[in-house]
Amino acid sequence: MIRGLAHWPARLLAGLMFCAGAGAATYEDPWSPATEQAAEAAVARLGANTSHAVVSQTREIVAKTHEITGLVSGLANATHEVQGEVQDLVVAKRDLGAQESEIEVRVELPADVLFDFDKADIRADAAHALAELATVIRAYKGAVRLEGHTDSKGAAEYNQKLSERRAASVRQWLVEREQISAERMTTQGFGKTKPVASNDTDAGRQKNRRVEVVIRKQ
Amino acid sequence: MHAIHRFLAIAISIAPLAAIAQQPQAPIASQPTNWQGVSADITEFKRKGNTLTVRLRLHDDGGKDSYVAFNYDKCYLLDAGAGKKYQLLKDDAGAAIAAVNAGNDEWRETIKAGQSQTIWMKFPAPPATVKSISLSIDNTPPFDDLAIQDAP
Repeated sequence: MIRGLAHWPARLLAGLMFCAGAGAATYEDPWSPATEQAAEAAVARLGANTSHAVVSQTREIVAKTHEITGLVSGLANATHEVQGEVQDLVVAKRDLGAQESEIEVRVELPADVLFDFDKADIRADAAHALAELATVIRAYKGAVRLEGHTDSKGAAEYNQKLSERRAASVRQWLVEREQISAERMTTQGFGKTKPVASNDTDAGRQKNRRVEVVIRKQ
Repeated sequence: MHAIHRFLAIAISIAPLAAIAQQPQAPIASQPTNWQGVSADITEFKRKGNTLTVRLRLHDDGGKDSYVAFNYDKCYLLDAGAGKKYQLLKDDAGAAIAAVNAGNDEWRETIKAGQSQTIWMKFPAPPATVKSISLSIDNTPPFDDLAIQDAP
């Protein structure tokens, strides 16, 4: 009916007044009964949804944007943090001369760096080396074994005790100063039984005086 | 053939009457569009029943003919205070209830220099308590806070 014969005079007038249009108009006049009927029917089809709540949508979008921005920012921070931790780990391993296999990381700390002669108390200037050791320990989840060793000078029993006390001192330091879980770490003293170099030279004996740290990766 | 001639005579004779009936109305609001040289006048902004009708006069002031492709899909009413947006009405075939002459939702025409063309469109009516509302149309800055005329 909209395109019906009843409207063709009006269409012709429109054609005369508007010159040649690009196509036939569906609704010629806003106030014609056909147009009003179609408009009312369109409103009826919309029912209660004649409008959209743009403000709430905008608020939702803004809230989501903030959320995403927060997540992205958090992710960036986390990434920086991880990158920083990885960098610290690389530096610590390098400084400590760590030996690494698929299952464990092994570090040898010279006793002369950690302790005064014949003592088992950690020297203050050993803090940096132990902090780097803690960085390596934190990077993994596995058990940590602390082994004390001495050179061959002195009585075997004395060296055994000294090596045990030195291993225990390192453990205590790591717990108290670096907040490494005590449960992860075990200590053992080997005295002079496991030299890694000749005890006939000063250089060899210096190498033998050590605390070995074995960190299981898992 | 005779009947056609008779009809044309009638049509031509009543055309001036139609032109008188469509004499330019004073615009309710007016502003330039982004079609160069073309301005848009709102000449009717009327709520009747459940619909609101907008009549828009596009006037070419630019000194040369302008081709305008007006897309009704880009038209809506915005009640910023209530946060409500009213999209143009479409019939059950998806055609815009508006002065469409191309496709379902476009009006395309060359407006001659110095001349005007009038188009119109229909929206769902905002509640009677809403006395003014903003109108966005294609390729033109929005008309803010247009007073709604209520039909008697």
